[in-house]
Amino acid sequence: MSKNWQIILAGEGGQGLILAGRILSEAAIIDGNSVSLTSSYGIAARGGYSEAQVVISEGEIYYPKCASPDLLLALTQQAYDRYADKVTDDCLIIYDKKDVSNNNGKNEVGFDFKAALLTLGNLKVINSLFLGVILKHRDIVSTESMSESLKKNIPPKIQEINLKAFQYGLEQ
Amino acid sequence: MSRPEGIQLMEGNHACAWGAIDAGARFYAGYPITPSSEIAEVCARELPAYGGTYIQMEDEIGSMAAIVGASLSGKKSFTATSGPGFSLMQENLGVGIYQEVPCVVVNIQRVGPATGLATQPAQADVMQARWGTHGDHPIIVLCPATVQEMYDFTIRAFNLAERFRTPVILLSDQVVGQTYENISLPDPASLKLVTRKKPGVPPEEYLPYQPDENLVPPMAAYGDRHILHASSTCHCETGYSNFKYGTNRQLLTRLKDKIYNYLDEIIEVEHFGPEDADVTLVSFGSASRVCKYLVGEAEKEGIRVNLLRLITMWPFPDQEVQKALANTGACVVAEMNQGQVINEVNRVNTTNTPVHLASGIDGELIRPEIIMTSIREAVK
Repeated sequence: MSKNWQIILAGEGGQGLILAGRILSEAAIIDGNSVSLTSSYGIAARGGYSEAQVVISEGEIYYPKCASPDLLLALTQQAYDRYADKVTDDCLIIYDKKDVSNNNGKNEVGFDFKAALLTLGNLKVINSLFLGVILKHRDIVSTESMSESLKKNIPPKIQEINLKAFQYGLEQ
Repeated sequence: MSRPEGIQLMEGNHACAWGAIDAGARFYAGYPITPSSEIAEVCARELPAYGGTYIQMEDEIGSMAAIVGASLSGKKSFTATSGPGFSLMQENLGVGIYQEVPCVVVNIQRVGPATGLATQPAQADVMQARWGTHGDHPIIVLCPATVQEMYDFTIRAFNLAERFRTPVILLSDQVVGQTYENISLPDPASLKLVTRKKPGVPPEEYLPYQPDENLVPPMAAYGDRHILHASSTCHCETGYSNFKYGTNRQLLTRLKDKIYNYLDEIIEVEHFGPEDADVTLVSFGSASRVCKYLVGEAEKEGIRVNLLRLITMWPFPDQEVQKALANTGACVVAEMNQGQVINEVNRVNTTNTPVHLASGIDGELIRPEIIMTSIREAVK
């Protein structure tokens, strides 16, 4: 957890990408790091391209965007196509196995988010789930900080299922 | 919600609103517009708890009029907007300058003209901030580049407004306004706040536009025993209209001198990177962050680059830029417009240092490669 990180969470509106960016950013702050979070989204509440970019650093962050991403989460084909050719071989791409095809087969991990959500019995907790999957593959923040940040950002009523989804992602 | 304590993940616009509240602002009038709306949101939610007032106006013409009026009534007041709204505010901004009304106008710049590429970032209102309202006038404009500076510079903007009895513009942009970063708000009691000077004479002797030794007239508030009369036509020391030959010259000269005689209190720049450089970048706001990043990147290519960041945009830091140009091989001005600051840089370029433009007009934070290309050209 001493490295600098550049993470792009990309997909479509309604998948909680920006909230996930916020949860990840606050976890990084709990770990004592500097953070920059930017987002872009369309005018629709659901659907349409959406992304969050998170930069985590031990020191001051100059460039607030991801100049050279270390991790790309691509939940849609559009998200994948936007970045897959531009990232370096060192960048880990976690993509949705069901929605993304034509992969370039480099440093990639496919994950069946739909199947996992059906197992969890809740289709809305995809962001907590992918945060778990991300942390399983890369030690970006501590699991303790992530749990704390999840609890802070998610209303008490739906905390349990979200923590369960996070844990599920972490264990897959 | 209460005031955020400890280290927080905070949006630039939220930090601006908290800076205003901590600076003592108790009146906000505005018309929400992306990418500035979060400033209005925080004020609507928080100001009443501080005994303050939030009004959503019918438009930005009314918003600017309302904050001028509120300030004349004794409140620290402000508004926030973006391009289209900033255009509508220009007329009454001039009223604020001419009547010497302390207030703060926040412009979170987006792509224009007109509706433009709503609501993507740009830095193309530099000249509008300087000359948008008609007539001869001075203006103070500050350019923040981080979430922390959205807080700090908002406080500074209020302090300068109160010190010089004039509107101050916080010229930010979508990137700075809507980026989230870690910030820790200070104890409000630790802040150094400036409040407008009150009249030191009995009410019957008070002339609302009679300047003090620093050229700024002490300011009563509407409703005080000291009668304040403010006019948007040419006025003498009584505040009443006066069209005698010489009155306007006297007034305009004082309005300029009260600011330009005290530049050391206003001008602020940041030097970043090595002292000696092949190329000096001149930039401000979000674009200057890309420049800071490139100081290190250019070093990898064997090019020594430093940055002169303009924190005060207006009055323009003539001397600081002139000195930087004299001490470098070449200059690249990086700005998210087609070339506004570069003309000011050239104006003070007495050493004929080659000056190149790196222009970002794509509705996004200027890409590093655009500036890097200009750096490489500059050392050819």
